[in-house]
Formats: sequence, C-alpha cells, structure tokens
Amino acid sequence: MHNDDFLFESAKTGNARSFAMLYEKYAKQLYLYAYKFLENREDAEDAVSQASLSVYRNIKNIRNSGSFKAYYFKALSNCCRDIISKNKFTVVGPEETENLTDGGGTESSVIEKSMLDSALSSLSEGEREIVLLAVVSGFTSAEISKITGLTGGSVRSKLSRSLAKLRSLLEKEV
Amino acid sequence: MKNTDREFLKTLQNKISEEPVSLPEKLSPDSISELVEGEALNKKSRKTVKRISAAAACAIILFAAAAVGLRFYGPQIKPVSPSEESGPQAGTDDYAEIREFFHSVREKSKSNSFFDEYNTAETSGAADDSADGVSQAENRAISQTDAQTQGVQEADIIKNDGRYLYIVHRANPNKIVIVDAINPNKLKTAAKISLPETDDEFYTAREIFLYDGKLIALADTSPKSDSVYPDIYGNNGAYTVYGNTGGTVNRCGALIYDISDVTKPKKTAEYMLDGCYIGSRLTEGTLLVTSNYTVPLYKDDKKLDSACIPSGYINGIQYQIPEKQIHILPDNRENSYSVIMKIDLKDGGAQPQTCAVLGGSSDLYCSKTDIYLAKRSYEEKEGESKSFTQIFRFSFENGLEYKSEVKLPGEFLNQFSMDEYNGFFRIATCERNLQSYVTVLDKSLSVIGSLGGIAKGESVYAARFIGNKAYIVTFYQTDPLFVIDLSNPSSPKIEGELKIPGFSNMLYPYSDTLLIGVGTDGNESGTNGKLKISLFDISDKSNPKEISKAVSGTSAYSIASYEHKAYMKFGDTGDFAIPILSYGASSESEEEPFICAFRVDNGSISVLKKYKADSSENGMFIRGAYTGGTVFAINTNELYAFDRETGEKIDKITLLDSSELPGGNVVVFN
Repeated sequence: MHNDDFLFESAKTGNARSFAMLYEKYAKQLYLYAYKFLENREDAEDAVSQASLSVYRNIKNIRNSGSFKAYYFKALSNCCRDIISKNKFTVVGPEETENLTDGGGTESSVIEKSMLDSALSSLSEGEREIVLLAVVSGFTSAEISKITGLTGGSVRSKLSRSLAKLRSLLEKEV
Repeated sequence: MKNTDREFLKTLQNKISEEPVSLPEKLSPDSISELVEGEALNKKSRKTVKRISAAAACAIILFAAAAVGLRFYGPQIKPVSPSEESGPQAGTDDYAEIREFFHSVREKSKSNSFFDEYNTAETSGAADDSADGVSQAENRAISQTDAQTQGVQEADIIKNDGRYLYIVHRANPNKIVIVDAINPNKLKTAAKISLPETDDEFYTAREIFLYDGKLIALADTSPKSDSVYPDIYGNNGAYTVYGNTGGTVNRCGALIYDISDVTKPKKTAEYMLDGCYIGSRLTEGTLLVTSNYTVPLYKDDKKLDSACIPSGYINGIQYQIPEKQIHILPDNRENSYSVIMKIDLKDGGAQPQTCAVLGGSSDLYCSKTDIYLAKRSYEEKEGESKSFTQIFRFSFENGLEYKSEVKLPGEFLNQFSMDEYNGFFRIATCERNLQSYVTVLDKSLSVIGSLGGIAKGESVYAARFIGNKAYIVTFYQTDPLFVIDLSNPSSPKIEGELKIPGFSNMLYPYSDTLLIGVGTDGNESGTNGKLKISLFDISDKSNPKEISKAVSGTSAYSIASYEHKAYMKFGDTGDFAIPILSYGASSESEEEPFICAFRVDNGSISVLKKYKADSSENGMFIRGAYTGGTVFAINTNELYAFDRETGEKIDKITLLDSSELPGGNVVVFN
C-alpha cells in the first residue's frame, strides 16, 4: 500500500484520489464527530463535505502528513461551529436525532446511544467539542489545545469538568 | 488527568467505538474524491456543490484568519524610523484612520457575518541562488537553485557554493548544517547553525540564500508555549493558528550570518516582520521578504490599536511601519495585511524599508524592479461561488512603494501563473472546471487584453510564460497543452493546442524550442499514477507536439511535479535531474528513492543515470545538487555524494545526530 507520506505529497499536487484515500482513514471518525456535535445527519454530512473542501484547498499549508488529521479536525470543528451559528434559531433537540446507521441498529443500541447523546447535548458547545475530540478522535489534551486554541490547562480542566458532568448524568439514568 | 477521568474516558471511547457507524453515501471516499475534484458539477448536484463551496469559503475564512498569526503581545512598542522614511513619533496619532478601520472590522466580526472573502496563507517558498557574489571554488560547474526569472534568485533548503553545501535540516529546521564537500569521498560537517531561541519563541528556518560571504536564513518564529491565547474576537473566541506551518507563527524575516569563516558562522543582523512567511527574492544585492499578517482582533482596545499597525523588528527592536507606507484599499474589508521588507545587503542592510497593504496574499512573483503579491478569494454572487485573484504590485526600483492593485476573475495556480515581460504583467487564472483566462495588464494593472473561455470545463494544472507566449496545461481527462500568443498584448489568442493522455504539473523551459513537462501519465479514461516526463517540441507554435516521453515502470512520485526548486539542470551538459520516489518495483511496500538524471538528445528523452539511496529509511530525496563530477542528494537526515559518471555512491553523511532530532523517526517533506 502507499504510505501516508506518499498520499499526502500526491494530494498536494491536486490528486483528488490520493486525497480521498487519506480522508478514508479518518472518514468514520470525522463523520461521527460531526454527527455527535451537530446531532443531525444532514448537517454532519455538510460539515464533513465543507471541511474536506477546505482541507483540500489548503493542503499546501500543511507541512507534513503527521499534521493532516489534526488539521482536518480543526477545519471540521470550524465548519461545525459555523453551521451551529447559522442554525442558532432552529431548535434541534435530542428527540430529533436520527439513527446513525443507514439500516438502523438494534432497539437496545438505539436507546443506549440516545442516553449518551442526550448527556452529550447537555454539555455546552465548547465542552462537547473537547469531549468529542478526546473520545471520538482520540486526541490528547495537548493536541486538543492546538485545535481549539485553548491553553493546555484550560483543556484539561474543561475536559475533567465535562467528564464529571457526563458521568453523573449517565449514572443517574442507569 | 485523574485516574477516574482516564477510566471514564476509556469507557466512553469503548462505548462509542462499539456504535455501528455506516458512512453516508455522500461521504464515501469516492464522493469526497469527486467533490474535491469538482467533477460533481453535473446538473443534478450543481446546487449542492455550490452551496457547499460557499459554506466552505466561510469555513476557510475562519481558517485563514487563524492561519497567520497570533501576534505576540510583545515588548513596549518603540516607534523608530529605520530609514529615511520618517515614521510617526510616539504620541502622535497618524494611525487614527487605520485604528478606526480595525475597530469597525472587529465590530463586524462579532456578528461573524463580516467576512465575505478569504485569503489562503500559502507558502510558495521562494528561492534560488545564482552565484551572485558567492565565491566559487575552482572552475567547476555547480548547481544553482532553479529560478523563475533570470537575475532574480530564489531561496531554497539547499545551497551550493562549489565547496560547501548549506542545508536547512528538514526534521529539525532549527538547524542549518554546513557540509564541507571539497573531498566528496570524505564529506565532513563544517558547522551547524542553531537558530536563536528566546524564552518565549523559537525560530524555524524555511530557506536560505548565500550572498557575499553571508548566509541569509529566512525564518519564522513560533511561541514556545501555547498558553498565550489572547482575548480575541472571531472564531468564537477560540482563535487558533493552525495554518501555514502546522503551528502558530508570530513573525518572519531574515537572519544574516557572517560565514567568512565557514566553521564559525556568526549572526550579524536580524530583520523580522509581523506575520508568516510568503516568500523572498534576492536580486542584485537587494533582499525582499514578504509576509502575510493577520491582525488579531483583540477585545482590549489598547491591544487592538497596537496590533493593527504592522511592525518590523531590526535586531529585536520593534518599529511600526510608517503610516504613509500602509495602504488601506477601500474595497478590502479584511484583517490581513501583505507586508514587504526590502533590505539592501550592499550597504550592510542598515536601512531596511517596509510597506504594507491591507489584503493578505499567499504567492509572489518578482521581476527585477517589481514585486507582485497574489491572493485568491471566493465570493458568493447570485447564488454561485466565484473565484477571484487579487494582485498587489509594489515597486522596489527606488525605495519601496505600493503601486497598484487589480482583481481578476478566476484563481491563479502558483508563481508560474504570473510573469512580467516588456513592461506588461501577464497572468493565467481559472474558474475550476469552468474555464481559464490569460490576461495582459500594463504596469498600472489596467487590463490591456484578455482571453477567456480557454479549455471549457477544465482547470489549469500548469502554466509558464516564455517571451511573448504562454504555455498552459489544463486537464480533465486528457492533457491539452495550449500555446497562447501574446505578441499583441491587447488581443491574446490561442495559437496551438495539443491533446495527449495524462497531464503535466510543471513545465520547465529546456531550450527555445523544447519544454519539459513533469506530471502524471494516463490514458483516455484518466491517470494511472505513473510519473511522466514529457518532452514538448514548441518550435511550431501552432502545432506543439509531445515528441518523446519517459514513464516510470511502477507508480512513482517526484517533488519536481510541484516544486520547481527540485528540478536541477546540469549547466555544463544540458542534462537535468529530479528526485523520484518509486513504488513497488519488487513488492507492494518497497519504496525506492533516487535522483534521476535525464538527457535530451536528437528529439528524444532518455534516462541517463540513477543515483540511488541505500534505503528509504530517511524518506525520499528532496533535492539534488552537483559540483563538477559529483552529484549530491539530500533526504530528511542524510547527504549523499555520488560519482556523476558511474552513479556509484562515494560517501554519505548523517546531518544531525539522533540527540539533535525531534522525537521519533520523523520524515518531513518539503
């Protein structure tokens, strides 16, 4: 298989196929992140599409393939916030959340999911962003700090606070 | 992190990873590939794509705003006038108008509806060194960095003075390594330059020049800690910089090292600018450094008032650019500046001049008298996203002056999309997958003539202006090479056209009648991932022909397909060489890095010699160089010397010890 560096360099020359192959590595994480953040499948699709265009257009600004994932999530996080600010007047509640799978999951997984999802949606935007970056994308606090622009300390304390909030909500419901 | 947090995080991660996720069709890799290629522009999906690209433009605004720079709210500003341009004295408020403007920008950014265009902060590097003032050892032919314009040098990550090789280390760009190659069998490190580091910032070398016993390091600075996140509007308060170099950039500029004793380089001067590095040029002892400075929209008035005036820094002393050298254009409503510094190295650089225009930029073209900064922008018009190119022209013939500006339809590709010839500025732009334009302008940037509708439905992949002709490669399925006649500036016209499979990303002039194309091979249905070096015969402009081509046996890649500085011409024989990384010659995972020399003879192109790396452990070769009968090549951490005739390796030296490298086996390409 081609390695990331090769794909990355090739994508830099404008090769859409190579770009898509790089994208594929993170596609599910990106979609899941956007979906959990925006709580709406169509918006999530838009956000990932927009972020992809943005990353593709700006790929020459990314120094090496190692920064690709963080750059992508940075773009996605911006797109999500953009969509949220556009949707400010539309109330989107957890009850409107759609099933994430195309074919629909089992009954219990839907219930399980909506518990976690509704716990997530009780967090503020900023908190949700940090939690999702840690949980879905597996970024460290230092990486999250680069992506969000918050200080390392602020990321750690927000993350800890949000996790505590989530824990209490989930435990209550169980 | 507390243990309980860590455990709970793990539980959540497990929980989420167990959720079945199936990617919607719209987000399948195939769809994304189509989306970015813009091929989804058929009738059915047209609306969606437009909508997306408009929104993407918004997203990129945030990005671009973020891309340049958290400005370090540094030491007390001491307005000093660095040259005869008399800067305003402390206490006066000549800048009132500019400040007022930025206050209004900040107001509008709060509602987040302000920005209707953006600029990308791209780095086209800059670079070349001809032997302008560099003492050459003996009388051997030596390599020089490929440059777009004769007499205007471009910086690069490797420079060769005939004895020493000067190399910006790619994995640790805080270091410049100087290797003594007087005896190529015994390469020897002569010195290592560590760029400065302050308590707050570290410096990163981007490229270098050599000039008159001096090494000029073009560098930028980043804050050491990411804890300096001032209170700024825009991007929901989280104003990060994750652009250009993958990190925060404060300032950029030139560090001058005296290398009269190569073993003891000594820093003699430092010229810096706010913003991140766009590129640089060196012509007849005049050094030009350009930056893109995005003003952080501080909530605090005092901070904003100070940050909205771009500054220069001479040997660490900050000065604000004089008000009369700052130009705010009525139609530009963004918070990025293009900034230029001109340093006369002949008089020791005592009196640098600076100039700024509101409107960020990402690429530059430079003639011997004028510098043109270019930006791309995207606007929503009547429901359609349109791309534009804005050009700012500065003259540095006498002093440094902002001269004129123009905005044209379509986006440019790179520095080779621009050119100045016989007093005319020419530029190739394209509206992706719609059409391309070639426009001729006079020096005041008034349009003299233009040709639109070139290659309907395609995009520009490569451009090169040579004399009164433009050569444009567009691509959809096959590779039309257009020859456009500009001999009558007021009416450019298509003179010839060639359609062949595959496409070229870069065009290199070989002779008056031959062009080299470096790109991707293909057939009528698309590309096949193989590297293609084409030889075009352009002697009959109305009938260009691909008379010969070399195609790699397996998939292969060359940096020279987008970085002209990786193209090396052997000045003595006319042969040329590019770095290549080929894939899967004997197994899928095998990578073979080498420098490949080509010869053009009797209308055909042939592989002359391969200079092969021992392994791909240190990545691909990123540049080649030569001195007489020795060919050199660098990768992430090694310099190889080869016998030019036999292709055999003579010696190899490791540039930095593992203790001097950042953690892990980092492979960084250009």
